[in-house]
Amino acid sequence: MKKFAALLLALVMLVTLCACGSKDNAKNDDNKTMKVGLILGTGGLGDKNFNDMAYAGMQTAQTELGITFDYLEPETISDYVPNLRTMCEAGDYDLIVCLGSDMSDALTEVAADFPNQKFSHVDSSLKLDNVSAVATKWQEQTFLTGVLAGLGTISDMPLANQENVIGVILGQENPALRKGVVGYIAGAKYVNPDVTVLEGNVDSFNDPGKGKEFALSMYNQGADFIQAIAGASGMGIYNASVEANRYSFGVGANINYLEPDHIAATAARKVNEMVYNEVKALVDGTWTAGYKISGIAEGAVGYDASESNVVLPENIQKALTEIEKRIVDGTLVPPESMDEIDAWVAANQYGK
Amino acid sequence: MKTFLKNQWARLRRLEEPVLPLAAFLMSLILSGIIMALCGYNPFEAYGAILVGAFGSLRGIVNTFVQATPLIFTGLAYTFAKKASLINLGVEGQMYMGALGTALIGTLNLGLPACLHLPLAILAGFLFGALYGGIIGFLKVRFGSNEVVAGVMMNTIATCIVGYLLNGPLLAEGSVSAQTERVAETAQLPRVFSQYQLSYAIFLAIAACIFVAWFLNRTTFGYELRAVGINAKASETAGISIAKVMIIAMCVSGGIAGLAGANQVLGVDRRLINNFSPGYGFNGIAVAALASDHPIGVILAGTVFGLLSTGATELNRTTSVPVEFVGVIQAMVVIFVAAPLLIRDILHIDGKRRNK
Repeated sequence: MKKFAALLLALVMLVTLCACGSKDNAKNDDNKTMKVGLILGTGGLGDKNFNDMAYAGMQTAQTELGITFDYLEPETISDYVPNLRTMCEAGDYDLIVCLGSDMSDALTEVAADFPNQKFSHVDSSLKLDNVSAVATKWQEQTFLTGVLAGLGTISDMPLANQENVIGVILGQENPALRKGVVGYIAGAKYVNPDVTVLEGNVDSFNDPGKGKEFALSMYNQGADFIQAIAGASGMGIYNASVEANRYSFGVGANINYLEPDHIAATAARKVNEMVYNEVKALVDGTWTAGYKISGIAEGAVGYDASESNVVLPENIQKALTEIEKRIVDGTLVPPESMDEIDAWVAANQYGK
Repeated sequence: MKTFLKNQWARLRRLEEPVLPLAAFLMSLILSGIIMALCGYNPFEAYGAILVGAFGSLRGIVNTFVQATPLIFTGLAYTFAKKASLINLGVEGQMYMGALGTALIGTLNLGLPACLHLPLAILAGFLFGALYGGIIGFLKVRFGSNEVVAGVMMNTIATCIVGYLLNGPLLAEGSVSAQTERVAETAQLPRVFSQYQLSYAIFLAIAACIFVAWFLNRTTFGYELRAVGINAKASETAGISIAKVMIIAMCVSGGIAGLAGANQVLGVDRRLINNFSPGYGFNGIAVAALASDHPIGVILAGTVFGLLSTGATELNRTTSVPVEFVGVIQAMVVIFVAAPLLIRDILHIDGKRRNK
C-alpha cells in the first residue's frame, strides 16, 4: 500500500509540474510573426505524398517567410469538424490551411461559424467568402503518364508484355481523383485507342498491403503499367511492380527514387508550392478568397521522370514532349469526365 | 435496483476492484513518460498538453465525452460477452453493421415524428449489430468455430460490405467522399451544445452500463450467463442451456456495439461515412480491460480513454511530441492490466486476501 501511496503522490506532482510546464511552453511570438495552422488529411504524415508535401511547403514557409505553424493529424473524417473548431477557437491563427476535398463538408460548416477566419483549402471546389480554394487540373496531371503507358504497353520496353493492357488504382472514389483516372485513360487512348485500362479502388489512403494485392492482381491480368493515385497505399503498388517485374507510376510528390528501376515516372503535383504560395500571399497581404485552378501550363502539375532509371524509347520521349507542348499552348484540352472520353478519343488522335 | 446500486457503491468504496486498474494506469503513465524522456521529449510537456486539451476548455471537456461515448458502448459490448467467457473481437464489425442499420432507417424520410423515427433508427442499429454478433455465437455453438477467429474475419467482411455500399448504392448524390445522405431531421440525436458533436447518446451509454450491471447481477438470465462464464460444463449439468446463453450473449454484445455505430451516425456525423471508426471496436477491448470487465467501470475507463484521445489533439497542435505516444500510453494500460500478477507483485497486494 505504501508503494501505491507513493505512486499517487508521484501523480500529484506530475500534474502540478504539468501545469507549470504548459505555461513555460507558451510561445513567445512577437506581434509581427504570422501564425498558420495546418490540418492534414486522414492519410497523415509519412505518406511521402500529399500530406508530407504540404508539410514540406509549410516548413519552407517557416524558414523563408518567418512564420510559425502548428499542425493537426485527423484520424478519421469525423475528426475534421472538431479539429477545425479547435484551431478556430484558439483564435490566434492568421490562416488555416486544410488539405483534401473530403474536408469540404466540415469546412463549409465551420467556416460559416467563423466568418473572420481565413482558410486555404487545397483540392477544393468551395466558393466561400473566407476560403481560398486552390485546385489543380487532375486530368492534366495524369495525362502524360497515360500517354507513356499507352505507348509503352505496345513498345519493346524490357518489362512490358505482349498484352495491350494497363491499370490505374485509386485510394478513394472522389470527383478529383476520378478526373485523374479520366486523364490517364484519355492520355493512353490518345496514342493507343485500343488499349484496355483496368481500374481498382483500394478505398484507403493508408493501406499499402491492400494496394499491393490490387496491383499484383492487375499485373496478373496482363497490365504492364499501373498508375497509383492512392496516397500511402501506393507504397504497396510500387512494391508490387518490383515483385511482378513491371512498371508503375507515382503520383503527387516525385517518388521515382523509391524503385528507380520500376517507377517510370511520377504524375507530379507540387502541393508544397500550392501551400507555400498561400502562406506567401498571406504574408504579402495579397491573400484573397475564391476559387483558383491551375494545370500544366501554370507548372502546378506535370510529368516528372527524373531519378528514374527506366529508359524510354526515343519515339515515346518525342511524343511526350510534343503532347506536353500542345497542352501548354492550349491546342489539346484533356476531357474531365468518363462520359466524354469516347467522343474525345474519337475526335483527338495523336499522329492523325 | 436501489439496494443494488448501494451494494455496487459499497464495493467501490472498499477499493476491491479499482486498485489494480488504477495502479496499472498510473504505471503506464509513468513508464510512457520514461519512454518519452528516452526519446528526447519532455513528458511533463506532453501530459500538460493532454490535460489542457481535455480540460482546458468547454470544447475539450465536450470532446472528451464525444470520444468516450463510442468507447463506453464498445467497452460494454466486449465486457458483456466476456461475462460468458466469450472473447468478442468482432465488436468493430458489429459497430459497422449497427451504423449501417441506423443509416438505412435514419436516412429514410418516413414522415414519422422524431419520437418514433429516432428510437426506430437506434433500434435498427441495435438489431443489425445483434444479428451480426449472433452469427458468431451461432457458428460457435453449431459448428464449434472459434469466436475470436470468426470475429476478426467478420470485422473485415463488415467494413468491406459498408465500404461497397457507401461507394455504390448508398453514396450521397454529388458527394465528394464515400458517405450516405444526411439522416433525416427526425432521426438525429439532439446535441447537448449545438456547435459540438456531443449528443445525448452519452447518457444512453451510461444508462446501458448501469442496466447491464443490474441485469447481470439481478436477473436469472444474468446469473446463467455468469455461470456459463465461470464453468460451462458445470452449468450445463445444472440445466442451463449453454447454446442459448452463448448465442444470446453474442447477440446482446453485438447489439451494444451496434449502438456505438448508431451514435456515430445519428449524433456525431449525422450520416454514415466510410471508415468512420479510428478503431473504437478494438479500443473497446482496452477500455474493458481497464475497467476489469466491470460494467460500471466501463464508464470511467471509457472517459479516461476519451480524455487521452481528445488530449492528443492538443498534444498534436501545441507540442513537438509525436501524437503516437497517446497510443503508447493506451497500449501500456492494456499490458499492465493484462498482467495483474505483475502489479500485485510490485504493490505487494495479496490477491486472495483482497478479493475475499
